[in-house]
Amino acid sequence: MSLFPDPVRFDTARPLALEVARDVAATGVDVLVVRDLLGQVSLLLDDRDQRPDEAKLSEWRSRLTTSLERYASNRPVVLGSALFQPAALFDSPRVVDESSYLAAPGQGCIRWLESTVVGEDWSRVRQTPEATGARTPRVTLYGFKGGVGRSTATAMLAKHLADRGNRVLVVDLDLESPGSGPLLLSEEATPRFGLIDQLVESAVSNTADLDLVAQASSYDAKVGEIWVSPARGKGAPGVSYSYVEKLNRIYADVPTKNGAGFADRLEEAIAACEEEVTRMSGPPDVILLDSRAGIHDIAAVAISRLCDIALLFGTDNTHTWNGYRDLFTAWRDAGQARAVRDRLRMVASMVPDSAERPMDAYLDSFREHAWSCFSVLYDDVPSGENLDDYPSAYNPSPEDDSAPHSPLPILFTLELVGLDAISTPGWSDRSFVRAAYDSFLDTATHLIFPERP
Amino acid sequence: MTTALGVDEYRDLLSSALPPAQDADTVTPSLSTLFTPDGHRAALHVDTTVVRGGRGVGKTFWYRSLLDEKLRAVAAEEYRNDRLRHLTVATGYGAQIQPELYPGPGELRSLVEEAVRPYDLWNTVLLVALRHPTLLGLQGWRERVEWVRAHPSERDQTIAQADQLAHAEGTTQLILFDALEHLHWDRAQADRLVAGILQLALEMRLGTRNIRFKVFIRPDMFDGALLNFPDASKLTSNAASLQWSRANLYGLFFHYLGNHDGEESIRFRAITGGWTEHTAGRHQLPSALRGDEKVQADAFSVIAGPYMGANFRKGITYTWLPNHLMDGVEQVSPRSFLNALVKAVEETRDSYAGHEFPLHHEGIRRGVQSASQTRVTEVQEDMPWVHTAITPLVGQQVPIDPELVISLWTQAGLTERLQREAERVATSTRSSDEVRTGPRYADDYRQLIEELMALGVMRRRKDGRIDLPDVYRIAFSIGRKGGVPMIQS
Repeated sequence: MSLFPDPVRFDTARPLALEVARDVAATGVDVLVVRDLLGQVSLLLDDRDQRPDEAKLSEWRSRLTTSLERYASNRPVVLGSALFQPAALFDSPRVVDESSYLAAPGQGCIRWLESTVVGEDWSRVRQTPEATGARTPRVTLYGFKGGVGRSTATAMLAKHLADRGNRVLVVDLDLESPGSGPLLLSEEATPRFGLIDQLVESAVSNTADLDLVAQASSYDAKVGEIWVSPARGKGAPGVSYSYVEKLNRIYADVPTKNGAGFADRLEEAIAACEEEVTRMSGPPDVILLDSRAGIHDIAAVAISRLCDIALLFGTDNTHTWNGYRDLFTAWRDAGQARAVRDRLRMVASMVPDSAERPMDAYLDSFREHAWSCFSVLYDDVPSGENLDDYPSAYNPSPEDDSAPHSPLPILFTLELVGLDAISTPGWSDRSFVRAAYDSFLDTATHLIFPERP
Repeated sequence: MTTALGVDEYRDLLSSALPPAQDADTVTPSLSTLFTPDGHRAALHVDTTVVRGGRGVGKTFWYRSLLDEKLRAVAAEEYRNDRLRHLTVATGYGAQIQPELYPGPGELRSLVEEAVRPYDLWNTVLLVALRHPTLLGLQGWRERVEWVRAHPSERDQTIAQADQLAHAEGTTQLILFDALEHLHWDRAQADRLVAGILQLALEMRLGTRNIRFKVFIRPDMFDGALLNFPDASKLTSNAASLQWSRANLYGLFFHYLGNHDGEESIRFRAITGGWTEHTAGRHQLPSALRGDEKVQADAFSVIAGPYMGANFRKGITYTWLPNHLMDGVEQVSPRSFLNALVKAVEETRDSYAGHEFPLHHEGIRRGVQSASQTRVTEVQEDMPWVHTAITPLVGQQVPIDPELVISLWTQAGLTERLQREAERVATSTRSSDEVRTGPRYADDYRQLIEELMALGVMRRRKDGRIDLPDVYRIAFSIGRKGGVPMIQS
């Protein structure tokens, strides 16, 4: 105990609030911990079955106020019965269980409700059915840091899948810096509208007859096809294309008729692209979502809600791993670890392979760091007399090559620098390109179509 | 036209063709079980003195095969190594008690207590192997060693004569050493005895043309001997290691399936195709099934299904199985591998008899668990001290901070425990089965961690924490840290 203790900060508020919440739950009352936009905390008590006694209530109130300091809201403890619409909070789809707490018999539960602006989509993972023939597999390609060759890999994967007879749809979700769109479409071949237009027009129910997709210009569709939905369209002749102004509007949760949030609208946009490909050619066999980097809603939605496989790109450095650790921790704290971990797979991009930096040593280090990050999402397997008590425990060892943390390598060669290379005819068949991508393409294809031999 | 094997027929073949899960030390190599992985070629080279290998990788197997003329001929054939046909092989040390060839455990202990120099002792063993008439006439190793000490020039002459004779006959006199972990319970003494063998081995290699030692040894014991005999490092350059690659393990497995008496084995050979006729007591694998991972994986997926579950995302059976049996130095012993498969058949018959493949992936999972249990039991027999060292860690989770390991050991008084254990062994019955060498650094916990890492029981993660490979972790019931709390079912 120091003489001048540090003030409570955002991060320290959480465990402190949890301490009080545990005491409340111990009396058998269900607790909803609500954090508002500023991070200030209220405990919402479900008093539908039993009313906590007044003495306890005032004790909890004063404890919260003292221990949370600036992070206690001005109504630190609220009874559900005192709210105008308690169900709106208690039954909100955004409520998640506190992951570090298991209620013993007779105890109440502890749940969280975060009011956030950006980033909440990370914490809502949609359960996807195992990819079967019935559902078109959707693959998100994401990198916490940009500039790791993600868009090139997306284009390569699209070609690889199309060469094997698939109709592939590539959606460029990197609205801030479009990647795979320009890579796969020449200026002439670009459709008049892009995904950004779909997002803007849908807010005013004006999406009929938007052409959003075109066939990849440099791809010779012999056995399969590549369809591309770019972020940015070509625009109409004679009218200036106001990309920035559109971008400024799309993240707003616009008050549409059905109250759809950004995630829902993004999902609709992708469905619209899919429908258009279906109309022009036939249903796509696989959809690749080239997601933007960083902790951003688009990436959040693409991984948490839109896909059944997410390929996570990274290079082996501290900021990449710190970024992924933050993401994984957010998922874990939102109680989503089990739902999300099965669909993740790490990709080591730009892997060096020289005498000074042999590939195997690099990948060993990469795997080790990836595993240490992924541990956040793996089960905490206790020691016991009998590990059979935990038959479903999932915590693959660092060396497990089928685990989510085990990287699919893409080698770095100087010839791969320069994004336009990919549209050069025959480029992807060059031997050094094959050497760089083969292993990644082969395993990714297996992950996307796990049932095919 | 061959008929494919049905699921039940495959299960019958697996049950009957694979060796029962028991200690290989009791299994005598035979023509039908002799499998020659490419990687072991160097180990059989006559000039290779040191052959390193962990538990269950085939040290004793090759030691015994080299003693058998028929098996030697097969190895000579398959490795295209003609020198193996022109050998006179003798034993310098082994697990069996053969007091006429080398001192038994009781005698060895009293010789050590009397401070007999290991170098003199092994010289005596060498002269006995060379059938020196005077020595053969003497009873008891004390007298024999004394005679050798008293007749240095006789010793030199005997060796020179044997060398010349062998050279004239175009043969090599090969002396084999195995089971060195049974030499002495005290690590320091064992290290000195091993150093004596290596010293003499080096002397033969440098000083004779046709007398060679071959020493089968656990890597940690070899490293320990270097401390006592620095020149042993001259043996390192051509030391061989008995390693089993993934293709070797599956090759061994298929070799067993194709070399069983019975209808199923004949049909298995016909299905896979390309086997040799029955020559030298066995059918040889086609080279693709022996070394081509793609071909092996296809053949194995007929038996075990392609995936460890519904689909590819659950893992590929072919790679999953050896991957989950790896120890801390990334080795899989063929014994663990076959044990896991034997258990997988039993489990599948018991719980998944109606499965579409002869082996169910859950059966394979159970097989791996059972193999790791067996592995721990083996380690306990071989090196009881490992178990003693891991016991204080039970209740913890890995990866674990080395400082925590050390403090747990300190609390448990591990040094005293290990010493008590050593004393118990020291005063126990006088059979070599009871002799188990203890750790080298019972009193230095940091070194003890290094020792456990060299044995593959522990490994160090890149962040410095200590980890246990699953093959040991599961059997020791030690948990693994993760971020998501578990609810006991």
